[in-house]
Amino acid sequence: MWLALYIPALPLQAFSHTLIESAPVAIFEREGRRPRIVARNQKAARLGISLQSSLAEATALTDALITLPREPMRETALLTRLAEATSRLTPNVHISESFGLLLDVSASLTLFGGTHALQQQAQVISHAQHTRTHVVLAPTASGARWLARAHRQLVVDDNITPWLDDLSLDTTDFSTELIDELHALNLHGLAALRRLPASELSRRYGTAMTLALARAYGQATETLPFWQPVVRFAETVEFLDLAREQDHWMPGVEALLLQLQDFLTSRAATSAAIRFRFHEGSLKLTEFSLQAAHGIHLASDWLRLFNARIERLPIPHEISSISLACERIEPMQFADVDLFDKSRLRDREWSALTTLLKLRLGDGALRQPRCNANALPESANTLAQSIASNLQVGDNADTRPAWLVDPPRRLTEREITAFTQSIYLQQPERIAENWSHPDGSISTQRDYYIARTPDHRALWVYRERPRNDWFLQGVFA
Amino acid sequence: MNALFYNQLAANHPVVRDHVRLGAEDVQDTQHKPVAPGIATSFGVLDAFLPWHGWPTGAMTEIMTDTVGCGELSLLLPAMARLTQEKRPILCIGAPHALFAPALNQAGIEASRITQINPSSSAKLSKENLWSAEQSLKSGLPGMVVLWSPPHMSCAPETLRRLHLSTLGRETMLIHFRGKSSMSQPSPAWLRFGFAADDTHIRLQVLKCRGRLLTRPLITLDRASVQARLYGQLRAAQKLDAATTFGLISDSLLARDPSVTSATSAILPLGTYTRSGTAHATAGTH
Repeated sequence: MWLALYIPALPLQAFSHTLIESAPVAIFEREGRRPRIVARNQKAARLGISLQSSLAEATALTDALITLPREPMRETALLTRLAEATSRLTPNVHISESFGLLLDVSASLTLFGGTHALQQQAQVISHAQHTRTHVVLAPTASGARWLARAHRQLVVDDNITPWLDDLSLDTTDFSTELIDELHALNLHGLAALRRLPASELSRRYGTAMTLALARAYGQATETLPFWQPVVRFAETVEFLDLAREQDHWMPGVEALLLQLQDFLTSRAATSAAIRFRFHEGSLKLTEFSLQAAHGIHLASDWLRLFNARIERLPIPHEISSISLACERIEPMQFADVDLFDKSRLRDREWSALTTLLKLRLGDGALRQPRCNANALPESANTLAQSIASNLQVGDNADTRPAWLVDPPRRLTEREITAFTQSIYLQQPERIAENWSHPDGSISTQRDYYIARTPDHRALWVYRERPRNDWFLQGVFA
Repeated sequence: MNALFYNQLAANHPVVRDHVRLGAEDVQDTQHKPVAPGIATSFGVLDAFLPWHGWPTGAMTEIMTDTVGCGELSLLLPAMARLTQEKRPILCIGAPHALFAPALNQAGIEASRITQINPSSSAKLSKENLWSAEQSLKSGLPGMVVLWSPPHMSCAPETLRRLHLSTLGRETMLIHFRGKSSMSQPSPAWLRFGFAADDTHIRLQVLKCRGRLLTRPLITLDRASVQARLYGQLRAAQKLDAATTFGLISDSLLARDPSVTSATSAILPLGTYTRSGTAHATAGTH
């Protein structure tokens, strides 16, 4: 089943809809030396502007007519925009130049509730894009295409033959010369054409016409290339004047993120990294990336991360334009929901929270106490060289303080005097680092003691050998 | 009635050996509404006194002390261990020092579940710390958020209210360490303690406890039970020191006192043993 979205007067609709609705507009195209009108709006038609009339004739009729040259780039952009919007109905979208779109919706009928519901969806999408379209569903692509030129709305569920037989030749894709030739033979409709022997038609007009007829009536298969959506997002907003305050340029960021959300939603995709560029003309540029813990697609989630980042490092200059780029998208993955074990979902949300905190506070602000195989306590707590908790402290090991003073603080003479009275000097725990030297020589030897202070605190202090310097290493909290 | 109950409990509890002195004999619940159970503190008297039978979840608890290293963190370690065993993350914000992973392991805490933000933070970072606490509380993900405010800093009432509102209705508890000067300031926290400690006891002056009459009871915990591992090692060291000084080490002493045995096993013989690249040696007399 195929859904044809025909855009009548495509050269006209490619321009702004506010312009089209406000004044008589005609689009002309230069054919040879004589420009001709190829599309005009209703207001222009009421003034007597007709299609295929020359530009000079049209402008002679009225002074109020706005004439614009045809812009194929605008037409392509409109078709692409519409293809992106309709790709939520099916991924199989074919863009047909100077016609509109052809959607293979065979696999989407059940999902969207049947042909009529799908037709309504397509109309809603077209309306949202400010585009006037004819929507026709038919079993063949060419059939739907031809019918769409004749009908605004039509659903042909099974037998397409009687509907096509009623069409005139002007609705087909035959060349103008061929149609004129057929008209000269008093052949005006497809029914009359089909009554002629196919072999004679092929011999006289070539096989292209008979093949096109066979495809439209479903007697031959038809393969169309499908449109491939762009996977890279890049948009820019520009300000008329330099934006100084955050309140002034923040709507630009929000608009870009909403565009990104639409881009990702239409592709059922998420992204884990985006890049912002803030320009002050060509003088200054601030660029940064936002990394999410997992793929997200909602503008509100990105905005939360953006606000956290901008709180820590505000943009230090005025802004003339903002660019947003997303280089890589990933298919949207639905999280495994286990009704009995929510730990996986919780871990995912936790990583999102830590990402938010890192963006606001900086990477170095978050630490995780980990054990590693290093001998000295201050190096045993690092995250960068961590070996996930492979050093298990047994029940028989000496007790360790909950707080680690890192780096160790050298003790004053007065403190040492106060501490040594409470220290039991007979059984220090000696920690030595001897593996860092190839010859096995010991570079650092520390004798650790538990000291009590007059204010009833318990401290972990050590005496470094051989210099006998005393240091505070930890606090038993 | 309650005082009698607590005294009996303290007397009959051979392991914890806590005792409580209540400010009034007839302390009764001001509200008879059922309260959601909290996270057990693992200190019998404290669990028995608190209406939640532990630290209240979905609420703010304030502990006010000016000193660091008197067993204030040890009060929380059993609850932290319980939460990490349930795979709940814990966030420590603005702590005075970095947490030491081997000590956490000794307390049964899964260190990988602990995240520290801005350890050794200054007052300048307190705004960031408050923001971090609020965000994490609103997410409802951590089992516990422990927030340290600098002792000299006074939190504005609206700040405390925001923090408290962030915890309400969630399964996260907020423990807020503040300076003693904050004891006279009002706070929306459900539970407020003034913390003081000496070598033998930890005293918790209950300033506010939602669900109980405001009689300001004083709960006294045996510090040796709160910091059991530290005190066990200190006792063993003391005995060994005395024994070594007076030349009393003998096979009979080692056989009689297991704590001395464990301590001497660290020094006898005076050799060196290696553990995962770590060379530990114990020295003899100095």
